[in-house]
Amino acid sequence: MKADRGRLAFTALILLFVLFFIVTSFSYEHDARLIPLLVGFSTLVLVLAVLVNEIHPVSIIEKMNVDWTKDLKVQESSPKKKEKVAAKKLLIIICWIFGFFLFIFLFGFPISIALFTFAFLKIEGKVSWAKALLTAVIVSAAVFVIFEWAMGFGLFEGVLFGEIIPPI
Amino acid sequence: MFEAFTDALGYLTDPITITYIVLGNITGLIFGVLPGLGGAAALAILLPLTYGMDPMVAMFFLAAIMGAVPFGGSISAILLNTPGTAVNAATCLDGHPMAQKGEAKKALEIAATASGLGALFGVFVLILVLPAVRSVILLFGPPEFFILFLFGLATVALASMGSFLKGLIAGGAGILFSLVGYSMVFGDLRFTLGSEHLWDGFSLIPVIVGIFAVSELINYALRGGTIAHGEASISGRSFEGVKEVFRQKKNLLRSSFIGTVIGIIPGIGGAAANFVAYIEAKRRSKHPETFGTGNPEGVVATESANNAKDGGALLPTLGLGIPGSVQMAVLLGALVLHGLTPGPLLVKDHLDIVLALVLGLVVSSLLASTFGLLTAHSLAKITRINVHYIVPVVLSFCFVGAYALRENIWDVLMALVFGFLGYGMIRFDYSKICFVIGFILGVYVERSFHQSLMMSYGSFRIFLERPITLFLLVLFLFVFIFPFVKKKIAVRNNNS
Repeated sequence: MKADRGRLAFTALILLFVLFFIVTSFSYEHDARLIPLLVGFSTLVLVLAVLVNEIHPVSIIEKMNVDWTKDLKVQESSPKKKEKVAAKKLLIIICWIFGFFLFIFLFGFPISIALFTFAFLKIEGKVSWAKALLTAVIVSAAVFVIFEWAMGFGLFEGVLFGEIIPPI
Repeated sequence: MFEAFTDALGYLTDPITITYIVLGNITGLIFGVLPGLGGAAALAILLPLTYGMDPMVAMFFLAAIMGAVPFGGSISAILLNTPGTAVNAATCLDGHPMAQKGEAKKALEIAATASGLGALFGVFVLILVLPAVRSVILLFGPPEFFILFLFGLATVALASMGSFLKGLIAGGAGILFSLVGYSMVFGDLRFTLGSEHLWDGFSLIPVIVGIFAVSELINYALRGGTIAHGEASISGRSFEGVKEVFRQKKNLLRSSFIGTVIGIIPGIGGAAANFVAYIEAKRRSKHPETFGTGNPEGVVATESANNAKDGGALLPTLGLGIPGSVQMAVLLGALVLHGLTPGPLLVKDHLDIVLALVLGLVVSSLLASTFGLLTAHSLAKITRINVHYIVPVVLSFCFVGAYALRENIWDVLMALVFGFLGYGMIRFDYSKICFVIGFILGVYVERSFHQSLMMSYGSFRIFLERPITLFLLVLFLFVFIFPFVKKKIAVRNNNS
């Protein structure tokens, strides 16, 4: 059986996270590193087991990886999640969402929400100009009214409009 | 207990509380109707709005959302053969065939009545059991809580989506992420990579919004099109379904009982309650051959079970700090946000909060059934909206919600990063609920671990010397060993 590269990459990413926590823990005092090391090493063993399983899909690890509640599973997500997703489409969605964040960073919430909603509906949804424009205005206004007026939160106004960036 | 009950009841007559219950109800119904989003996403997105609210009002609001989601899900299950949430999956089996036969109105009335009565049953059991839980809780100290958490995580990992190993990995990763930032126990900064933003650790709201809501929106965006394609028509005689439920008292009680019991078991959740109740109703029916062709018994069983399970699921969530379902995991986050410590002491010290949730759930379930029934036709139309409308609208609220609490733009980035992590978890079968349980309870685990060691002057034997910890450890080992033994027996039986 051929290993799934996406699956492998995701497991490797988790492995890196866990390794980071383990390695960094050694620089702390004994008590402060106890739980991170206990949890880190236990998780590391499990990640390695899953990684071996994913490189050699039919292995002893898979035999151990029993699933006695398969009929009683908690469905945590939408049923169509297993559909094969084209990498290109995923990349486009990533760009949209990161782009949205970048716009918020530069122009603040009200403008970015209106722009993102309009652009997403027009380009991805292929809806009419009027519908896209109307939705964009309504969503942006709703966010402004609920969060800024009703609840008193100060929405981020964007670095281009003088908003101070908090330390990262 | 009586004082706390009257306190909670007093809030229920307050116009502000009533307004929030109605708002929560409408939101819950809408999120319930939309497949994939469900209760956890609704709670995650609306959690920031509760910050600054009186905790009691916030609990009524959140309970209102939770109580309305299952009936919202049954609307799309019956009318469009698309379960709004996983707990409504079995409702499609007989609910939709009823709609196809022109009995949609009757099916919806059955769902509404059975949902309301099921919720009442679950909550009734919860109120009966709570006093007993309170006395048991006094036996729990830091060592018991530490082992209880490990046991809970293992149980949830075993029952939740994906493999057992991946569930445990997700739980471990959740604990590790919770340790980032300033440690209250040791007074030093850990794992911050020099970032000032991470001094306070990962903020709860961006993590929950990212894992539960943004990840599902990515899924929606990738899928495209409309959510459901069926025709939603409601016809039939009025109140026929209500009468039908009262004709099936045994089925109703049995299914509600199944739902409540399954709800109590951490991690198994409503999807299982739904199917087990359905199978049991079919087994005991005089006409099992008609199941799947539009038999009202099937709808009564599934709908009463999936609402009764919420009362049951509140018991481990509030009494022990171990969530009985995904949305209960988010509810734990809500408790933390309002300065309440999930776990055994919550029932002892904040019974009013517990009762607010209980009462909120009852009122909301009844309200959702009534309101949902009146607006079912319009609500069902939501599923035929192009998902390209849903993505920017809900994503905007997600990002503003992530930002609002600390008014920090980097929290939006965090929600985005955790959104992609959550999407990866969906795609590659890592349990999101395990991750969130680990993340929310990680800090308490570390604290109880060190408190235990202080109590025993650094000896690990404390975990083996106390009767409850010993009992839980045996259970913990059983949870690990049982699957292997069961598989071995199955292999041997197959060979022979």
